Amino acid sequence: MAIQCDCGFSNADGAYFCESCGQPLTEDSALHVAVRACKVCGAPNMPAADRCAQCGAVLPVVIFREKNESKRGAKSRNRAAKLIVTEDNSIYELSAEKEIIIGRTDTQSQSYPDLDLTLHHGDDGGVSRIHARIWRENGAYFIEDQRSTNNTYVNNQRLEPFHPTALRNGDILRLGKVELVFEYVDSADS
Amino acid sequence: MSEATLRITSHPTREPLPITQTAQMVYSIAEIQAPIQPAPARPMNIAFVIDRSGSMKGIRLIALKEALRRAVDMLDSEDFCSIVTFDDMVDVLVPSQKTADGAHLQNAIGIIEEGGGTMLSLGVSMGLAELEKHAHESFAQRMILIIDGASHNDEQYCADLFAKAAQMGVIIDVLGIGAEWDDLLLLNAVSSTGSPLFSFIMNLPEIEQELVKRVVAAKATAAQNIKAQITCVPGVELQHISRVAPQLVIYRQLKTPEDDSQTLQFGAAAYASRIILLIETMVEPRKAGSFRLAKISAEYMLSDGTLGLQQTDVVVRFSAGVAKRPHTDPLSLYYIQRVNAARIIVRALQEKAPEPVTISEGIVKLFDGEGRELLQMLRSGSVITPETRKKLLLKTSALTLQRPAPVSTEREQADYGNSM
Repeated sequence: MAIQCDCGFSNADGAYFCESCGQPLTEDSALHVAVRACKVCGAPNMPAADRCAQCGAVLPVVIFREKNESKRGAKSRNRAAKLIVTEDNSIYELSAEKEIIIGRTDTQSQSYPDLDLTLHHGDDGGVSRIHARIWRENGAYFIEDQRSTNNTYVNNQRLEPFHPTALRNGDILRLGKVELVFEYVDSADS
Repeated sequence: MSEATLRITSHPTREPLPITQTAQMVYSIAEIQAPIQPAPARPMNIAFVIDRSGSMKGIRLIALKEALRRAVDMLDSEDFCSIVTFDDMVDVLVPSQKTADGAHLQNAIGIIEEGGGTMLSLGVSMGLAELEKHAHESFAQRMILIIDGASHNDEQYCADLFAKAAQMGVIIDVLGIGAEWDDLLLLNAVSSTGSPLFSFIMNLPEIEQELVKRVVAAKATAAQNIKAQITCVPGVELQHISRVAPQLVIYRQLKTPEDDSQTLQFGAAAYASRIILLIETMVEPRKAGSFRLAKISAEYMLSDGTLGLQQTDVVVRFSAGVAKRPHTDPLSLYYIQRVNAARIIVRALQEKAPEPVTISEGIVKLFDGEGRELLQMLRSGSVITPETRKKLLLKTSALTLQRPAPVSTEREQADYGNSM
C-alpha cells in the first residue's frame, strides 16, 4: 500500500522518508537518529560501539554523565535547561525536543534564529547571523559553533567550528562578546 | 579466508519483513572490508592532466606549478609518471616514464604556459593513452586532473572516456580550481571510476595540500579496481545503489530499473577501511519464509597483483506475524535518511531552470549553518551559482560523516583519500 506524504507524493510501501521532499514517513524514521561519531575519521557508528568500524579508532566514552545518574535515572535525563544572558539576566528556556539556533536577525538575508541576540547587543557584539546551535542528545545538551566570524567560547575555550561540545551546569558561553550562562532548570539539586 | 583478501557481508536493515499485498521497498546494507595487514607499497602509474587554458594565467599557474613540483617529488623511482597539458590543443609534456630523473620532471613543469580554451576530452584521452603504456595489474593507476574551466561540446565524449578509465581500473581524481568548471560532468568522472569526490579549490594554497593528499592516498592502496555486481532475483527490482562510506556517492543509474543486474566501480580501498553500500530494492509480495533477494559479487585486485573474488547473498525473512513494523537499526536508518536527502538535493541541482523545491525541515537540519543558507536558496528557487552548487555537492557528499574528517597526519590523509 502506498504511503502518502503531506507534500502529495505517493511513496512505496516500506519507504522511511518521502522520496520527493525527505519528510519522515514512519514512527522510527521520525525519531532523531543517534549514532556515535568517530573523532578521527568522522564516520558514524552504532550507539553501543566502542571502536570505529571505519578506521578502528577508540570511540570516546560517553561525553556527558550526570552525577549519580544511576540513582536518579530517567528523571535526570529529562531535565530542562536554560540560558541566562549575563548582561541583563534574560532567561531563555531550552527545548528538549528541538535544537535551537543562536544568532541575530537579519531581514535582508532572511535570517531568523530561534534565539535572537540582537536585543542583547548581538549586532555590535560580533554575533553572526547563524552563530551556534544547541541541542539535547541522550540526556545531555551540546553546543556547536556554526563557523561564526567571532567564534564561540565555553569557559574561555574557543570551540572549533562544527565540533559538538557537551555543556555542564554553570558553563559560561561567549558568542562574540555576548556572554550567557548555561544552567539546568533544577540546578539547585545538582 | 586469507587476511589479504577483501571481505564482503550484507544484511537487510530490518527483519522480519511483513507479508504485504503489494510490492514493498526493502533496504539492505553491504560492506566490503579491506585487508588489515599492510602489504609492501605498490608502484604507481600516474598521469597528471593539467588544464593550461588562458584562465590559468598568473598566480593560478604559479601555484599549480609549485604544487606539481611537490607532488612529483613524492614519487618513488619505480613509479611511472606522465604529464599532459591541454587547452584546446593537447601536449604530452612528459611521456609515461619512470621518475628516476626528477630534474627532467621539474624542468618540464617549469615550461608550462597558459593559452587557449578548454577541451577536456583531449586531456583525458591523452592521459589515458599514457597510462595504457605501462598499465599493470599490480600498479596503482591514477589520473589526477586539474581543471579551472568548463569544456564545451565534448561532454558525451568525456563521459565515454570516464567509462573507459573505469574499465581500465584508473581512478580519476579531480581538483577543480575556482567555480567555473563543470561539476556535474566531473561528478560522473569521480563516481564512475571510484574516486573520492572532487576537490573544490577557492584558495590557491590548497592546490598543493589537495594534490599531496591524493598522491599519499594513491600510495596507500590495499586493493584497487574494486567492482561489485549486484544481481537481483526475479520479482526483485533494483531501485538505487549508493555508497555511504567512506563518503556518500549517489551513483547514476547505469541501466534501466528493469535490469536485474548492475556493476559499479568502487575504485580503491585503504588498509582496514570499509566500503559500505545501501541497496534499495522493490520486492514483489512474498510468502512467509527466508528468500534470497540478490547476489553481490565483488571483484578486486590486491596489491601483489592477484585477482580476488568474493560473493554474498542478501537474504531476508518474511513473516505473517509482523503486526508492527520491526525496529530498524539506527545506523541503517541514518544512512537511508542521508541518501534520500542527497538524492533530492542532487536532483534539484541538476534542474536546468531554477524553481522552488520542497525540501523538508528534517533535511535542512542535517546541514551546518552555511549549508542551511545554501539549501534555503534551493528551496526558494533562487538562481544557483556554480560556486553554490559545488559547495552544496560537497556538503551533501559529507552527509554520512558526522563531521568533516580532520586531515593533519599522513595516516589520516591516506585514509581520507584512498578509501573513497
